Amino acid sequence: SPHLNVNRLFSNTVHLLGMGPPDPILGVTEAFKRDTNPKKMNLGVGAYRDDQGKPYVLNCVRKAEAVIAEKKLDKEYLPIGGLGEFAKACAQLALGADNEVLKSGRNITVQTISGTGSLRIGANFLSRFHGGPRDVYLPKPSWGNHTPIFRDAGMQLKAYRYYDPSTCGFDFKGALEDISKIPEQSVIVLHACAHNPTGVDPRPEQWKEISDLVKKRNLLVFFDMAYQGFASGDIDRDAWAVRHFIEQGHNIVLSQSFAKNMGLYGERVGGFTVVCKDAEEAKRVESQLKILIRPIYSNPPMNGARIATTILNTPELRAMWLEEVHGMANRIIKMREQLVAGLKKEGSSHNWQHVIDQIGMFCFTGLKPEQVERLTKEFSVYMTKDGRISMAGVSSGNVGYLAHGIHAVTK
Amino acid sequence: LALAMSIFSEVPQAPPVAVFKLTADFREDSHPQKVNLGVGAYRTDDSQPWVLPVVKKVERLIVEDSSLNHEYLPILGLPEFRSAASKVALGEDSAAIKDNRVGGVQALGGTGALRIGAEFLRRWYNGVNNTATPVYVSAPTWENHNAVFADAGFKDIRPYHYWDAAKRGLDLSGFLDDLEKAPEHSIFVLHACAHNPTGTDPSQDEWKKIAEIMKRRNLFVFFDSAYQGFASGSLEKDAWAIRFFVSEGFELLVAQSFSKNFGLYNERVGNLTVVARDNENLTRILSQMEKIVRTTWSNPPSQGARIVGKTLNCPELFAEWKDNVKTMADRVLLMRDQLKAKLQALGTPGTWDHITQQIGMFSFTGLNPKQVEFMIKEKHVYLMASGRINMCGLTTKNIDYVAQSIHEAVTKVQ
Repeated sequence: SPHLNVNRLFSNTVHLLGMGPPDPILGVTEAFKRDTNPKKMNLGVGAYRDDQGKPYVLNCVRKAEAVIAEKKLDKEYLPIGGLGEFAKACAQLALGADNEVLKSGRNITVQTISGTGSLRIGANFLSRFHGGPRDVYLPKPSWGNHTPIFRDAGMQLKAYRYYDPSTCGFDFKGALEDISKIPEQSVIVLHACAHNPTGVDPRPEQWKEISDLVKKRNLLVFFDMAYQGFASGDIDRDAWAVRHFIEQGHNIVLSQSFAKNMGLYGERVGGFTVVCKDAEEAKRVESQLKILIRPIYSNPPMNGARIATTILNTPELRAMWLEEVHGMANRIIKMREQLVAGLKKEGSSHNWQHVIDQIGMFCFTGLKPEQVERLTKEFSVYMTKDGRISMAGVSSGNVGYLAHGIHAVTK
Repeated sequence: LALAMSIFSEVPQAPPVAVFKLTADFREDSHPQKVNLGVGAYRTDDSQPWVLPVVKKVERLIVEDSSLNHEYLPILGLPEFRSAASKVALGEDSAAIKDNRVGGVQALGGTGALRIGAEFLRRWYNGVNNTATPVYVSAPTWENHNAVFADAGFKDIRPYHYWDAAKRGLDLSGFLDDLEKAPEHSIFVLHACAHNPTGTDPSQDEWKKIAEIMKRRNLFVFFDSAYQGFASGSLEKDAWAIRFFVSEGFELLVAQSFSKNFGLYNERVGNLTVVARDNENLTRILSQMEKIVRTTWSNPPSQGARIVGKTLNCPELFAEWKDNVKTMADRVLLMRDQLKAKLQALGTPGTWDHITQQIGMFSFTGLNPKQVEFMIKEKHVYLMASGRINMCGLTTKNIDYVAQSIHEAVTKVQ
């Protein structure tokens, strides 16, 4: 082999760097794959599974794909901000078609690389243009990837209380206390619905108080909405908080993902919206978003956006989609109920009400790390160390086994 | 009800990206003879976009395969795509691949590959987070190179001599001089073939000289390969420079795009090929690439990678693809021949040999900004202010009009 004398510094530098640690969430799936126990359960990564434990391609997606294939479209570059019709439909879905923001054209919505890409564009934009403090306040806990996304964009991370481990519910008092102390003009991240990882959402009257306080503190609201429709089964209900804040006068920024609610995970479909003062400001913001996007990936991928747009804009497909997303949410809700029933049947004396009260794909069981470890080692149930389980990985076929395992490690 | 003072009130209006503005202006133009020689996408002789026949075939196969779903790809992308893409660049018999020291990171187009590579270098090359490492890009270069490296955090982006406007060719001595004078460990962005925007590539002997200096001076090689196969019609020929540098022992990065050679522009199919010293280094490098990808787009889009992966890994489809690529390359070569011939026949002042000596999608005509303005405003022939034309915009139907327009621009406008 050639004498590799060149660029020693590349190797030398690279020699200094260690292995990047395995991604905590995706690492769970890797370990699961290696396990040979036939009863193993993967309750790690948040992708929906049907009651047979299989990935679910929505019927409306298959139909939309067939419609698109017929059209024999070309493969020309999309604009930097993506497919225009997609951006419009995406914003309408979040805000409601009658929203004053849309009518006045004071939003700019761009197609992004799913939720991650949307958050990153948003973070980059704020890093470059937000005149306020560089601090972004995340709920404690939040999706694990939020922190490195904002950090890589040059922002600093802080937290406000959110999850109450003693109730496995919302620490409303703690949240208000912490939010009241956030310096003006800081950025606050709110999960629009189906909080990840806890599944704990504020009630409407709590959202109202949060909105009032955030307004008082003059904070910039960054909504992350990755589960619209997936939480309650109703897209308007799940978008209530977003719409309420806008109605209350907050000019929010918003990330949307279609990974879960349309099952378009690998197609990378998302949107990023900035609600501006007026259409003129929206134009200026749009021009700067393009400047940010171009040196990352030039323009976004077409396939998923076409599918999503076809679904949203074709009445029968949209109706089909609403039914299917309702169906997915319902199956999750049913599994929650069956898990609690199963735990009761096992004879568990703990209060498991939070499993039913929490919403969306994830459930913060309240299990401690040692208990999680036992559940994995003894029962081959794979989940993240924080006690989070993905309800999508639970089926009528394995919910009894799961109840048995959880009871065994908690009794 | 809106809050008093908008936090975005000071956000300035950014200028539009030139190449897209050109197309937008072209679209609005109602002149019957208008021609778009701007943005770099292939067109048939009927001025239509071309979805490659092999792509149509593979898309049907994918649609008919009910075992496929829309689940997340791994962070680094579709494995069979990554390995096949790197193999296309480095060759079937690549010793580096056999040595298990080559890896790929599926990325969103060539741009995405460049950006991930740039982010990696800024974090881990020449020290840790050394934003001062000079990055050299050719003068001129693709207009987005600067922004990619700047937004990745590099503070010192410099031009290296490349285009000699007077002789309409490569300024080799200027280039070599810059290599000799560049601080050690500087990063050089090299166009693997079909240089954008000039269409002027170093010869094999010239590449050898470039490599010799880069090796001696410990300069980092970052190839941008957006036109493999598209330039000469031969995958091997267009990858010669990359393969030569690898055989010379360089550790390097190659940002590959499949936008043009697969016509998959809007599916965003790219691959960052990493050639490392050994497998152990490669493993650590890829683990850090994962971290960068995770905060940028989490995992890449599946559709385009499936199409390319399937095609490259199936001998018949691969052969069909090479054929499709040759079709595109041949049409471009034909247009080059014809444009030069027509300009010579018109007696247009100047020499026009560069039209056929240059290679790939683009040609640096040598028209100055005033002449370009004339072309656009008076003749409705749209080209970049640099004088760059996209040869794919030429067809047997419009080539006479374009030749005539160039002739007028050169003779009427100084």
